[in-house]
Amino acid sequence: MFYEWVKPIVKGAEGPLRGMSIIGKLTVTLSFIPYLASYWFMNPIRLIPITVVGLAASIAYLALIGDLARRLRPLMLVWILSEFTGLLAVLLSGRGVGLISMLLNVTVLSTLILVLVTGVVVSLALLRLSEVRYILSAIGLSTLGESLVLSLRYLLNASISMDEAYAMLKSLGNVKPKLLVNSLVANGVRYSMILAQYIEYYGIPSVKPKVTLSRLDLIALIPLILYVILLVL
Amino acid sequence: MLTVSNLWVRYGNGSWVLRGLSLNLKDGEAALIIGDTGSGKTTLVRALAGVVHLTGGLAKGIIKVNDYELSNASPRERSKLIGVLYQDPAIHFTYPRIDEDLELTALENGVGVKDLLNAAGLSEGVLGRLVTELSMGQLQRLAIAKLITRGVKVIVMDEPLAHLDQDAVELLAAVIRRIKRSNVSVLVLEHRYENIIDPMDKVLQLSGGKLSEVSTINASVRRRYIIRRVSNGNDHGWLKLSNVWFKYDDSYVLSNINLSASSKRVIFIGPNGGGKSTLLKLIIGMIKPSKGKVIIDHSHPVLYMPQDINVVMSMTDTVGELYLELAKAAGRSTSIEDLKRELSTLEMNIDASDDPLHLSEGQKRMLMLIMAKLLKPTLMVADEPTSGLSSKYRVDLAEFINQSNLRVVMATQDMHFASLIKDSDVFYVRGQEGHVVKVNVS
Repeated sequence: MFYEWVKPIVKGAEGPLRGMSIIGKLTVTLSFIPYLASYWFMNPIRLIPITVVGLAASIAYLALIGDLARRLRPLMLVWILSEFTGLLAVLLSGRGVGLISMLLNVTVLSTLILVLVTGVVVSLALLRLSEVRYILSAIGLSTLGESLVLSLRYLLNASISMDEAYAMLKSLGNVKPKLLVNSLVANGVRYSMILAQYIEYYGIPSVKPKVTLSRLDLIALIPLILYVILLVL
Repeated sequence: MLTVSNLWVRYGNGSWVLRGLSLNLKDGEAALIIGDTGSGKTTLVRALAGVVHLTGGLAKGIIKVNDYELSNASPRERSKLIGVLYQDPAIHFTYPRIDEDLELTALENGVGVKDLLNAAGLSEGVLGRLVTELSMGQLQRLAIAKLITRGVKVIVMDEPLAHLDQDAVELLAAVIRRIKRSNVSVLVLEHRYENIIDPMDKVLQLSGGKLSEVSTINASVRRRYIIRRVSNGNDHGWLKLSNVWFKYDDSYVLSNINLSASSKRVIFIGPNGGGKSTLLKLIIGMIKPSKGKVIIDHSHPVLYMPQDINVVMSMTDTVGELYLELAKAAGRSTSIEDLKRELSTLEMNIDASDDPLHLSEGQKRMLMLIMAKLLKPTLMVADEPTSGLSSKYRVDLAEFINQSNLRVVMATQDMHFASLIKDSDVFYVRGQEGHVVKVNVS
């Protein structure tokens, strides 16, 4: 249950797109930024095809990196949350806009947010953890990079431990949340200490990632090319 | 060469766990350290790695590798001389993806990923998986393979056999012989030493915080177990799996599994990664089969003992509280006096006020056994119940199961333990290939 939510975060991408260079992987997110930016300077008629194309491109990426169903679940949460927040903000602002116009505006904005977030998710899935660590280290945030590796490793272990604790209590007959939380905290501290012992001893393996451009990197430009075509039309 | 002189270790203000321990290991020499559950074997490993302080401990004494004194060396410096294999093999993988971790390790040590896989005796199929998707045995094999590529002078293995199948144990014995030939010293701390004794030059007993040489153990104690196929029996078992498939992402761990068990005790044995733990998870309903049916005739409460026993041990601050909380969850009325009586009968030095997480691995498992005795579940499901248990407690556990009226389903690598359980249905499982046969272990 918990593991199923955590797994897509740490699993990374499957399939051929993993052969992209680190630059191509980062370009995926960058190529979706104009889609979101359009919201502030385009009229709704222009925005609708841009939103639809952006959504199609981002979902295509998700399908290409695999594990689509699992990854869509947290992304839908992002969409619902931004839609709900947007509607609430418009209602509280007291602006006298019609219901249809308000719904359209908020839906377009939250969908464009979803498109960009999907780009970030795809980039992060394509980037290997060691590459993220390398990027952070290159910009002087090496401690953050190491913490990220350890956090994800811990998160993976914690989620599976929670599932086991839940299954154990459920089999007994009664799941008491206090015991679950205790297990998460105390076992988490124990695991972190063992992990700390290992890291203190061996360190985290690292190596400079390949930066040689690959033909696959061109795929990262597809959303950008589509955007330019829509702009010209 | 490893020299340890007058080593003292304790945790907090507690009594000394190691009391002036000394040890000499020549280049290319292998020693086996045996000792009861809780005798301080893991503490010795921590002291050699220089990480005692991370668990709130204090270490005094001299540790030298090739006359290089390690007292002032940082753990990272030590790791270039002493390679340590930790008890939990998953800890050896800092990156969640197996392929990423192996690639980086291979690059750091100037070998190929294939070399690591060959040394572990595993196929490339494990590469796309997460560390949580491999069995403990597969992780153990890979952790050992990673360790031997580091080019250290001494290799220390803390319970390396805990999760290994018979093939992997043979592989490990061969690996130890190879390591010795390259003039590297090997120190193995292990309960299940029967099958690893051949390549050892000496056997040492850890007791009272000191080591003493054991002369009575020899290769004759080595046992080989014969696994014979037996008839599948009737089709009316209380546990039945019909056409069960289960997959992690794209790869099936279980393919078309069919079995029926009618004995009170059901044991799954088989190679590392064969799908034994997955079967247990299906039986308790933690995961659902991708296809097929798991039919089990039982009611609550079921006591599940996961492979990582710490998941349960971390639920409360004291052993007493744990017992009372689990009893409440199981709907059983109990008294703490019952627990105290059982604890004193067991003579394992466990007190109701102890923090369960601070017990040794063996003590934790025996505590679960007491819980099973007192809570009287309708079914106990245990994953590797003998992990960390010394020979005496393995026999105790088998006796408890044999004498109880309890229905038990277990997955184990421990053939000795499996052979001790009477009136059981034992299944040899190679899940990926859909191979499940009822066998007899003798």
